[in-house]
Amino acid sequence: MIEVSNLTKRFGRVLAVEDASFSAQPGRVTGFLGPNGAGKTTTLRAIVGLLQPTSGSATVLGKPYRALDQPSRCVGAVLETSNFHPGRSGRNHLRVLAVAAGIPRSRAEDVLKLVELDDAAGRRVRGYSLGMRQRLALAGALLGEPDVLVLDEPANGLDPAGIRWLRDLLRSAAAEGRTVLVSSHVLGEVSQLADDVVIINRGRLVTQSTVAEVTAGGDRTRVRSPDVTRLREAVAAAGLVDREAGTDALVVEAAPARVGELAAAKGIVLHELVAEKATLEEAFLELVGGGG
Amino acid sequence: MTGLVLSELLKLRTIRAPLGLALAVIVVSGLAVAATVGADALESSSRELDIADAAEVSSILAMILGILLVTNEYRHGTITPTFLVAPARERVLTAKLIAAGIAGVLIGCLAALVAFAIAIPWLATDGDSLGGGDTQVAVLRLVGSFALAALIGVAVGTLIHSQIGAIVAAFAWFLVVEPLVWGLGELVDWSLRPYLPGSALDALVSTDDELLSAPSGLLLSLAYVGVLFAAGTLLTLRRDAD
Ligand SMILES: Nc1ncnc2c1ncn2[C@@H]1O[C@H](COP(=O)(O)OP(=O)(O)OP(=O)(O)O)[C@@H](O)[C@H]1O
Ligand SMILES: [Mg+2]
Repeated sequence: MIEVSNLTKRFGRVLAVEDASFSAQPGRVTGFLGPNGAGKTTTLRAIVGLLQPTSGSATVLGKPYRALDQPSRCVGAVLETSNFHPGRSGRNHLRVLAVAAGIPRSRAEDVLKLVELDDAAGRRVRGYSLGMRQRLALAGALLGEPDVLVLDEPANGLDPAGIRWLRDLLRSAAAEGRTVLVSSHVLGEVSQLADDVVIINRGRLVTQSTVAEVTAGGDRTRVRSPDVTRLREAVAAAGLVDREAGTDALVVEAAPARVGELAAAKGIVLHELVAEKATLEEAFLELVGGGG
Repeated sequence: MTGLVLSELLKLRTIRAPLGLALAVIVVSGLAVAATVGADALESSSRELDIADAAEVSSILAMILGILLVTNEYRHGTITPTFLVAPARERVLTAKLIAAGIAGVLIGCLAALVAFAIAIPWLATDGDSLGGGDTQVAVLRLVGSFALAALIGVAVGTLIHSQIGAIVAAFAWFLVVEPLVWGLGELVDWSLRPYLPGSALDALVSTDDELLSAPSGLLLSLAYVGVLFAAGTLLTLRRDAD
């Protein structure tokens, strides 16, 4: 359980986060979305006590992060940047953290296997690829088997198999009742992964709801016809809204059955009739006011 | 706290820089002692201390080690996972101080070993004998000065998070500013000179009577560590971790 209340963070003149409030629930994956510079990293860093909020607060499991008894056993976090000494091996990086947290060193081997990095564990991080670093960072977050995961763009640098692996990992973490808060740019990713979304834009919270609610945009149908002009007239005559989608296609705000009936009544030939769901990407762009 | 100290020691053991610094200590202290003994520059009053004084030149490298223990974290961003594991930052910095003290003792021992391994047989060929109580005291003081230098390094690092900045500041102060103050000092009567941090540190292994006594030098050096470290810790607590 993560709760952010009226969080504001100012860096000099830049108001990075302004009065943001939201929560992430146990047993659910919460996607944290926003354009570049929206304040995602800033918010996540405030949650784990790395920066001091200008005002407002953030709590994890009911306490400020810094007041947690054994933070690595409660919260695992991966923050955007690559935080490793290049001359230290991946295994030693994890051992250093385990020793500091009072976690048995052997746990380092377990998480190395879990993130499929055991072959490279003895090599210096200098030689790691971006994806390997991302896996090592995740391994560090998983060391204490925490109930809460806070991840800033963890899919960055992962190959398709890695992304799938990450998705399964986070889904099963949520299924075990853990709280997962994960920021991302890749909206397709999030819609497959998250139960809830929190959208932030220019430091302000735009919405918090479930993925299903955000993408539920009513019925919509994509229709292709060689006689698109007449089809368009028929649609307009029925009082329906449409927009062009290429030279021979329309997207109509109605169910496929309705559009098919209209076309049949006028004897218009159809080449394609597909139900369309608003994607998270469309919903996102609409909410943050970017693109169409 | 034990876990944090062990973690800091493990940090030092799992990178190469400390090893390089230890080798440099062997070379620099070895050369300095050889030069002193070879030039017959030993005062008869306390030759053991003169040897320790020569070997002490490389204590600045122990200071660098202390600086690295803090600034490496900011340079490579490992301060993020470090503070995630242990959000009580003052405890992390204290663990660094303790670990640096231990590392300082170890390289101090190394320097003493090299110094007397060169000096004792060399002087013995001239029929001179070193060893016994005076040597033990000199070794103890030498090791103490290395440990103190490492502590000062940590304190400097907590104040100046930039690695280059902290190292340049330490070199500039201890190798340029203070020697200059002593060099130009003849022009003015600067009775405060023995109280400068580098001079206080030097007092531990020096026979120079312009400096403080060794116990006073030790106490004053500890006071410098305390003040710098407290200031650096307050700063670290108040600043964001980056
Ligand atoms: N340490 C800092 N000092 C000054 N400004 C900062 C600092 N950190 C972040 N900012 C500013 O705060 C705003 C939010 O940045 P933040 O990194 O939180 O965005 P983000 O949502 O994570 O973006 P991205 O998707 O690109 O990672 C930006 O305008 C950024 O320039
Ligand atoms: Mg970011």
